[in-house]
Amino acid sequence: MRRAPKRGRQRQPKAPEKIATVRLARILVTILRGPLRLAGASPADVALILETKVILDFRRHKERPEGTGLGAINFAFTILLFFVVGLMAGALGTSLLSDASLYVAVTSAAVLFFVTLQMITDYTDVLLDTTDSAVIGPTPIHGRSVAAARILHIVIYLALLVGALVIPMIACGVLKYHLLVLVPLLATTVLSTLLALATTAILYLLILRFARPGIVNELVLFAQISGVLLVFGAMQLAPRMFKKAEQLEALRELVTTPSAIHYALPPMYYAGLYRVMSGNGSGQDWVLSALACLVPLLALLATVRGATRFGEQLTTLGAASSATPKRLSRFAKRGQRRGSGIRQATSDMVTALALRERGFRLRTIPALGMSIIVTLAIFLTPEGDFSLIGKIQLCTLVYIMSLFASTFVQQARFGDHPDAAWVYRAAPIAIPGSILAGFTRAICLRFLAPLVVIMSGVAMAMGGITLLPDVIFASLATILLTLLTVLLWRGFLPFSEKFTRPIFSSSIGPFTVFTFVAGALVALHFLLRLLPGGIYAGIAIELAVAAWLYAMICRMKVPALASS
Amino acid sequence: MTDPAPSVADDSAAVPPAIDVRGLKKRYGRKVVLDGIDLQLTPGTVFGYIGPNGAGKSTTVKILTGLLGSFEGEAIVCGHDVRRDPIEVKRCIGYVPENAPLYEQLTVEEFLLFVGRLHHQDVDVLMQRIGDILEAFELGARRSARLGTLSKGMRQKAVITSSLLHDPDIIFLDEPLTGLDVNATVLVKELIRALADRGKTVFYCSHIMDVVERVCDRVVIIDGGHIVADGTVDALLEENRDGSLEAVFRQITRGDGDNDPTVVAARIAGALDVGETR
Repeated sequence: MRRAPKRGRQRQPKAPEKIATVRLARILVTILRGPLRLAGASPADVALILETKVILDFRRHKERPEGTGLGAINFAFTILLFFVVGLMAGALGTSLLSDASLYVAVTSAAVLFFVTLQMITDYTDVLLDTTDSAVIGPTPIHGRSVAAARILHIVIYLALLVGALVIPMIACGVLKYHLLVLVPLLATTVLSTLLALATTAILYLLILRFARPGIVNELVLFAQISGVLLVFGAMQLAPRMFKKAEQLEALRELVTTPSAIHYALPPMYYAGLYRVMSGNGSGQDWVLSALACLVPLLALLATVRGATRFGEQLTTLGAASSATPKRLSRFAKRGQRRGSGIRQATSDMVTALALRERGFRLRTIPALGMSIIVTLAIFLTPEGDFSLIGKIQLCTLVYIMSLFASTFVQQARFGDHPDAAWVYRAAPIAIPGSILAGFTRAICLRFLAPLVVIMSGVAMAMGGITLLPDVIFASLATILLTLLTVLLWRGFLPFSEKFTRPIFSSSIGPFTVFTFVAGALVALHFLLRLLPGGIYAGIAIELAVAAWLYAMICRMKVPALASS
Repeated sequence: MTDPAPSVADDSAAVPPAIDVRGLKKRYGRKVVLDGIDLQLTPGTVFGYIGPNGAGKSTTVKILTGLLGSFEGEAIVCGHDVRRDPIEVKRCIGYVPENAPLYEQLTVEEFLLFVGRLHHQDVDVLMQRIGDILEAFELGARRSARLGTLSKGMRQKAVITSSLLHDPDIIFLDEPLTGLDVNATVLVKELIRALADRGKTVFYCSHIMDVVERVCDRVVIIDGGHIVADGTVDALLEENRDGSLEAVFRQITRGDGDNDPTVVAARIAGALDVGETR
């Protein structure tokens, strides 16, 4: 028997019932049929919306043009990251905490924190999905069903992440405190996840209720960036500032001594739940246990009940999704209209979009914050004081800005509206390098220069005016590294590509070269200080190299501008 | 299918054509989108390029504007070979794409300045032109508004403005009336005529036959990558004797009675009967 030829055959999409997440969605809705009805949602409608959303997710991953399954890799990477964090937290927690109720409280706090963070950073778009209003809004489906489907949609993915975080923590807890903690930890995980989810949703509901849509977007962005920096900063700085014995004792006192403040701290509910389940519960512990069960369920109920208003406000949010505060516009306008030509045009356009595009800011501002945190971490000793190893190390404050510049260059190719790049292609751009020269001008003069000046000021305030030549050398080094990054990332049109996360792919080569050159520049800095007048010679060389690199950028080709 | 009408471009052999296309072919994989298009356009004419969905209109425009480089045949725009010298072609044309995506975070003024400066225009001249055109489009008060906050019609006005800022010789308009209200539609129709009076060539793609009939000096209908009719509106109407360009278009591009809209509409309405007796 001959097989039908493969060529030209239409690939059939996978049947919904064969998709694992669809099956999971059906099971979830079946289990929650009762609570859904109680919340005023229709289980049939919830199932229909949820299945559709999950099928769309599945097909979006499958239809990625690069066909590398990057979405799946990203998700797997996040799960792995959560697992490692859970393992570290479990190992550290069990080694430091002798009291099991304290460990349960810490587990609850970890779940609450990471779920809220994940909700804000990765699931805001799902929670504030304005397409729901456009597609489902006109249909006779109650807003509560839409909200319930939206929450369950998140739960499906969140369950995997929370599982990855908590399984090692539970395993560590069982090994240290025996099997008795298993059930309380499982209950804590489920209830804390629901509480974090519902709290975040209510928070958004309140923000949507009381803030203008443009401000909502800014607040969400601010929360997302702050969340990332909080975790990173805590991981970097907390261990250096932690005075172990005293603070552990204070923490144990806080959790184990009955106090009215426990009612305001959800992790304490779960410590109380553990004590009740292990047969050592006081009167307050019984109340805390009741709160542990009731608060998440009531919060969830409130979220679904308030869904109709939520839907209305989402419609407004969708209509105003592009708004950002005018302050940024004024900053972006500064320096405009000073000159004609493609360089100036691109420079102005990059400045405006870099200050306004949500996705771009979300990807670059944390890099800036992380650079500063890393620098602070270097100077922060275990005693909690700034200790300067030597004045020259202060130049790290300036050098570290090149990391931000590198991220800026790497991310500036991606835009929220990449299709708009038709304006470049329709324009008579005879020297494509002009675009990159304008881009380089924007990043160096409008973003990097102010930061470098501030950091140089801080360095000199701490190290004295004698540090000036070193600071100038370091500042020029960051400019050189920025120019090098533009060259390494090849010719691209700013804000002209759809964002994809390059985890192990195209960024590895440029980043390796960048790191090597950055290290070489720092080494050169130290060597030049050994020579009399060496720094001044170094500055002259840097200026010459910068001019040469800039000339190379001006001559670069942009493949995207070539006709297809 | 009717035979193509004789080209009106033949009358003006002495004037170099604004657009000269010979044997234009384009395929995407195995699918032939354009199959031997020949066009010669006299400067200062308003040229209607119409056809059903998927006929190859936008592909032709993309080739002639230098956006698509791989094609067969010859295409000369403003005296420049599109394949060899797309930059020079882009200097002398203005382009309004269909459903143009925009950098929504830019303000109207920022966007127009950006596009104008990509065309190497002086900023002072640009500011003057931007102000004048936006005022004419009643968009002056919104020049500092983000493009993302504008209505579809306002965005389209901004795109049309961007195509005129560098005073191009040829303007390609691909469905320019999308989203425009009645007043703006009338304004754009008058604008097209005014531009032609100033010697500009307008290459106008549209589905709106009424507008094509009113503003175009010459109309080409393509279907399946071929030119199926070519002539002045009057010539096309006279040859087909059906009273309107819409009827001519339908007759040429549909042919038989299987796709009679009355029959199709009745079938759609009839589909609603299913299940009514349950």
